[in-house]
Amino acid sequence: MKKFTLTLENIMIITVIFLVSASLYLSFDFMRMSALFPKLVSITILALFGILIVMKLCSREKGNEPESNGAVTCQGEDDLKPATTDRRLHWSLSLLLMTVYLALIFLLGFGLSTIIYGLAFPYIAGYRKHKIIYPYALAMAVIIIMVFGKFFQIPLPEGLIFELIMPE
Amino acid sequence: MLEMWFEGFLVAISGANLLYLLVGTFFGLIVGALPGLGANFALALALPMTFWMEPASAIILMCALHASATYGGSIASILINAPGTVGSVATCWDGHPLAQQGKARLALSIAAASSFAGGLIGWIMIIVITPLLVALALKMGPPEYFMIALIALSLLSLAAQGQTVKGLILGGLGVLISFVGRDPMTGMPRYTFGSLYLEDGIPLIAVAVGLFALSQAFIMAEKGGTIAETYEMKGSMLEGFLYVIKRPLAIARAAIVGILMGIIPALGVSTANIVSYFIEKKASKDPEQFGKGHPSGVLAPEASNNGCIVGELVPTLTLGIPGASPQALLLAALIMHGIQPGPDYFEKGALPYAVFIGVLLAQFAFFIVGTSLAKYFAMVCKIPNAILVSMVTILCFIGAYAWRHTLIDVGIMIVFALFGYILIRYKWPHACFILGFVLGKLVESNFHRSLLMSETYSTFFTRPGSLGMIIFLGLMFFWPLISKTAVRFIRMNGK
Repeated sequence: MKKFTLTLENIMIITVIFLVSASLYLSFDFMRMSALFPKLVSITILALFGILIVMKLCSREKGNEPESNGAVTCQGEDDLKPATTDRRLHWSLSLLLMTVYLALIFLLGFGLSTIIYGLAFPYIAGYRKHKIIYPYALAMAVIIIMVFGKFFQIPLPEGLIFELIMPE
Repeated sequence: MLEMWFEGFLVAISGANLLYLLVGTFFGLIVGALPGLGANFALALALPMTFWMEPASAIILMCALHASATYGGSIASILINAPGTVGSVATCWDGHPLAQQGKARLALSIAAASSFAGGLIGWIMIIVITPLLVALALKMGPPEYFMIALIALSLLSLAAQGQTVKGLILGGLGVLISFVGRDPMTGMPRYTFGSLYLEDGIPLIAVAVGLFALSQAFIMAEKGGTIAETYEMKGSMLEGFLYVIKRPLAIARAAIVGILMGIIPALGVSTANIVSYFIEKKASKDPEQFGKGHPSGVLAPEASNNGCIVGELVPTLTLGIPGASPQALLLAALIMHGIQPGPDYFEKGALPYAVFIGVLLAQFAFFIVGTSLAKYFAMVCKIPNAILVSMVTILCFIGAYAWRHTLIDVGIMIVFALFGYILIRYKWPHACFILGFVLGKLVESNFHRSLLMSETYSTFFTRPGSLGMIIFLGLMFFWPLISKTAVRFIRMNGK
């Protein structure tokens, strides 16, 4: 029997089981009518997870983890190779940069943080053609501000710092 | 009736709508040509942008996006052997061998002409079928709607394509997450933890953009480099058009398969293109040439794809039940504009007719733009992923923020993007989640409405429509068992 490894998939399964169990527990406080479906759906999901875990254990026992039969929505994913440390680093770095970008929008506003993100991401991802990166980052910020801020009249976040420096 | 069609036509050909049609076509072709992205990505990204548009413009843009992204998928399939969209898998099998033989232009023109013909046949069929289905839908009440939504949910196992348990889990999770917020029947807050933000529920836009669009940024970041370094464009366009014109029977066959797959919830283009490919192979005089660059191997899947996406509109518009994830996003766009699709959809003035004309114009738009500029759309495959990822991220951020002007939506989108990424990486059928999310409240509210109407569960069994659907559901559920027993019985009797 293979050793249990804590893959992203297993972390997701454990988290989801925990959340669904919590939702089942919370549904006992709802009114009868409001509780019916949340209870029913939570129990069904937990039962299905039970089946899935048994299926996984059985296939582990046999030593052949079932491979997907291509039931993905996007075909480009089919040629994904098992994540190497380097590749794993890329997606987690993307996640980190997205979170930083979100924090920067909150602090510096949409325009400035978009320029910073537009410059930083390609550079960190290993793309070093400055003649392309700089105009791209600037153009992206300008286009977004013109189209969304001016044309669609969306109040884009101005940033906490600017709001503190220049209160209305 | 004829007046409404004329009025709808005038709305659809207004300057703004034609502009949105072109924008949708261009954007759809670009996204379609990028392997791995596809219609879900394009629609999810465009959904928040449609908020400021007129309802007809929004739906026309979405239809143009869907049609052109589906066709655009064939560009990458043929030129670089990487299916651009879910419906282009079968196109690769003969499209790329044709390109390798120096007939890329021939393959692209066959794909364009057959997609266009499939879309046209699909359009004619929906014009015929939709009023019939509306007449039927008018006789339906909450019990029947509950049963239809339940059937659509149980068909998630089909959408999961072999990953039944995972598909059902994701569908169930989608349903459960749709319960966050105030219960529409009792007004009781559920899973809100006292937060005012959560009382309106989890925003569909943040979920859809995260799950389908931003999750792709992680995938592209992992891949790095560019999608394709080189490709060649050789052969004749005219030859391809003539090939399609000379095969009306093959086109009709593939388009009808596509339309049927589109009308049945949860099947969609992923099934249609492969089924029609094999039907065409079986009907062909030289089936051994399939897989080696047979032009009909491009014709059939492409015709069925566009027939399918038009067919999918039928249950979405007439019953308010989305057949597939792109339709769930289209439904979200309609609801966002205050339009609840259903039997009374045709009583909303010229709008439904404008949408139908828009669907027709979308076929012409992608055909004209696609055939003349296919070479240039394929160039997007040369953009470095490092640039593409940041571009996709910035667009997703503004898309999620723009609807409700709150950064919390952006945070929620990032969480769902991570969830979507894990699902994609481990090949879970993530489209099931969005179908469950959209269908969840529909199932619950119609169930409670049915009980409020009659105060007894017997209402589901005493109404003929509802009873018929229960029998259908039961047959569907026990079909593997029934078919096995029937085969055994026949064999035993035969002996």
